[in-house]
Amino acid sequence: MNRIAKYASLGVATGALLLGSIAAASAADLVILTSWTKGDARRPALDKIVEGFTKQTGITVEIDASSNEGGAIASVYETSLLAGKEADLVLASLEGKLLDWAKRKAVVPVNDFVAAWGLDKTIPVDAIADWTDSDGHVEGLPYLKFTWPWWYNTTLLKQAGVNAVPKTVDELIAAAKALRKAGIEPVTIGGSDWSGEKMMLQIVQSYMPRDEAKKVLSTGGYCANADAMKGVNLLVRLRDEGVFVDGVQGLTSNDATAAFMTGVAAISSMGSWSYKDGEGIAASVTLAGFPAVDGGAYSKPTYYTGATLSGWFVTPAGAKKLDAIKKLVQFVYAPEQLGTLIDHTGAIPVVNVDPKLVAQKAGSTMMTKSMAELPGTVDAAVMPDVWVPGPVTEALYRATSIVFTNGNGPGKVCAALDEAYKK
Amino acid sequence: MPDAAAIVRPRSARPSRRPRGRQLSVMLLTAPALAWFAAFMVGPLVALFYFSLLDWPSLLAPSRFIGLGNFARMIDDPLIHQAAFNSALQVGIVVPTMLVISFMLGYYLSLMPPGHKVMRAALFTPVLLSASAQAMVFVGVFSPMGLVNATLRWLGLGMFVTPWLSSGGTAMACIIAVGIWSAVSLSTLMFATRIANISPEVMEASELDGCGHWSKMWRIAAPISWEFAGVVGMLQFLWVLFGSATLVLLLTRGGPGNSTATLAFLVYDVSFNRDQVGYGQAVAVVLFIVGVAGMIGIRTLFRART
Repeated sequence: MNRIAKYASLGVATGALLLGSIAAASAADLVILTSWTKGDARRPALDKIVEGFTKQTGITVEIDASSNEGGAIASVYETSLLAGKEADLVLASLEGKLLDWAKRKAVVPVNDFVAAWGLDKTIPVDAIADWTDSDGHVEGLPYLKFTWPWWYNTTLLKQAGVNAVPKTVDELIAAAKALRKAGIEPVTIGGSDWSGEKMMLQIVQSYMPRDEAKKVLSTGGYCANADAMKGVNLLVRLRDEGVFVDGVQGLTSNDATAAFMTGVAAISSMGSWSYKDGEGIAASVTLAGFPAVDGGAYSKPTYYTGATLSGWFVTPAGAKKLDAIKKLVQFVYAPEQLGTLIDHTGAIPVVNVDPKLVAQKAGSTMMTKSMAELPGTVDAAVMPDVWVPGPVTEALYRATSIVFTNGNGPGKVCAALDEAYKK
Repeated sequence: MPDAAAIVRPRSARPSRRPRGRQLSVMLLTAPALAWFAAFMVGPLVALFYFSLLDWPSLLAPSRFIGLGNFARMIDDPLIHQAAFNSALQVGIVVPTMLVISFMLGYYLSLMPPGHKVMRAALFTPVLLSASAQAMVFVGVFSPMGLVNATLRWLGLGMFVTPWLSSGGTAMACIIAVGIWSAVSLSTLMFATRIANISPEVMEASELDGCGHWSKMWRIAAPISWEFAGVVGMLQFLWVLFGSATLVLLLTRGGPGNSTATLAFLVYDVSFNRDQVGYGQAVAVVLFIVGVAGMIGIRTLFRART
C-alpha cells in the first residue's frame, strides 16, 4: 500500500506540475503574438524596440511568434482566444481570416484609439481605409506598407534584343518570345500559390473599374462579368503565347524568386519584402508594372501597394490593459523606433516618413529604386487580400494552378475561379 | 491424489472471496486510465457527432442546430463526391498494391539474403521520417525541376516533363505513389517477422515436395499469413484513409483546384480554411463510418478465407 501511495503521490505531483505549467499565465505585462518569426528580417528590430520600451517604461513584454504559412497565426490566435488565453496584441498582415476578426469580436475595433492616442496625424487616412471593414470597424493600427511591382531584368532583356521595358501587352508578348529565343525564361511566378494568385488577379482586373473589381473579388462571378472575362481572355492569351515560363503552374513563390534572382528568368512580380534579396542584381533591375491594356481600367501599368503588410490588433485581453498598450503603441510609432525598424530590414512604415530617409536607412538600392521609379509611372490595382473573403483565399490559391495550365480555356479558367467562392 | 470435489470452489462462494477493498483499489488504480479514455477518446467522439449537427461557420462564430442538414447537403455537393472518389481511388490502389509488394518483400527478407540487414534499415527509413520530411523529399522528386523531370530529360524523354504535383492528371497519381512508398516499408517488416515465424518443418516439407520459392511464397506462406495480412491491410486502410490529410496538405493542398482533395483532407479544409466547422465535422462522421465499415469488410474478407 505504501508503494501505491508513493506512486499515487508521484502521479498527482506530476499532474499538478503539468496543469500548473499549462495554466500559468505569462509573467510579462504585455504579450504580443506576431507572424514575425525568428527567421524574419524584421524580428531583431522588433526585439530591440521592445527591449527599449521595457527599459524606458518598466513594462515587460513577451513576444510569441507563429508563422503565417497557411493562415497558421489565425488558428493559433483564435484557439487561444477560445481558451481565454489570448495575447494582448497581435502584429500581423491583414488578410484571410483576419479580415473578419472585428466582425467576429475576436479583436477590439480601434476606431476610437486612433485619435485618442494621437495617431490620427501620424497614420495616413488611406492606410486607415485599408484597415476598415465593411461595417466601418478599423480592425487594427496599420504599421507597415508594401509595394508590389513587376521586376524587369534589363540586362537579360537586352541580351534578348529587347531594349526597353514592355509598355503594352503586345510588347510583353514580343519580349517573351525574344527571351525564349535567347534561351532566357520570360515571366516567372509561383503559379501554384499566393504569388501566382496575385499576378492572375492583377491581370484579370485589367478591364474592371476599381469598384467593379472590388465586387468581383469579394463575391466571385467572374464568368458572368464581361470585364472580368476580358481579363480572363487576356490572361489565357498571355499564357498561350508563352509569356510565362514552362510549367509555371507547378512553381512556388520561392522557385520563382530564385529563378529571377539568379538570372534564369527575366521578369517577375515580387513585393518590397524581396528588395533586400534583390540587392545583388539591383543594377540590372527596373521596377515597373504589368502593361496597361487598350480600353482597360488603368492608363498606366499596374502594381499593388497597400498598408496591410503589418498592423497592430488589440485583443479583448489587451482591451483590459489599454494604458500599457497606448504607451507601447505610441512608442513603436515614434520616429526613432521606426528608424530601427527600417534599418536594413526592407520594412516601409505606413506613417509619413521622408522616402529618401527610408531608402537611406534601409541601405537598399532596390528601395531607392522603388522610391524613384514607381511613383507617377504606375497605377495601383485593387489588392485582392483586402477583398477576397478569408474562406475563399485557400481555394483561390488552388485554382491558380488550373488558370496557369496550358490548354485550359477561358471558360474553364473562370469556372475554376468561381468554384473557389462556392459555399 | 487429492479428491477433485474437495478443491472445486462452490460458485456461490466466489463473490465473497473478492474483498471489497481490493475491488476499490483496482478501480482507483484504473480510474486515471478510464478518465483519460473518457476525456480524450469518448468525449471528442461524442462531440464530433454533436458538432456535425450544427451550422457552425467558425470556432469564433455562434452555432445553430440544424439536425441532419449537413448530411443532406453532402448528397449534392460535388466537392464531397470528388473527395469520396479520390479517397476510394487512393485506398483501392494503395492497400492491395502495398499488401502484395510488402508480402513479397517480406518473404524475401525472411530468407535472410546477403545484405538483408541493410535492406531492413532502408525499409525502416520512411517510418523514421516525419511527414514534413517525407513531403520535402517528394516535393523535390516531383517539382518542375525535380528528380523525375531531370531523369526524363536525361533519358531524352523531355516531352513527358510536367509539373507532376500541379497537373490535374498526375497530382493524384503522385499522392498514391507516395502512399504506397510509405505504406510498404513497415508492412514489409511486419510480414518478414510473420513469415520468419512459420514453422521450419512446414517449409522443409514443401521443399521435399518440390516447391520452389514462388510456390512456397504463394501456396505455403500466403495462406498461413492470410489472417495476418488482414491485420496489416486493416491498419494500412485506416492509415491511408485518415492519414491522407497530412500528405495532401503538404504536397498539393488539395489542388490543383480540388483534384487531390480526399475526405480526410476535406475535414481540415472545410472546417478551417472554408470556415464551415459543422459541415467539416459531418464529413468527419462520414469518414468515421467509412472507416468502421471498411474495417469490418476487411476483417470479414480475411476471416472468410482463413
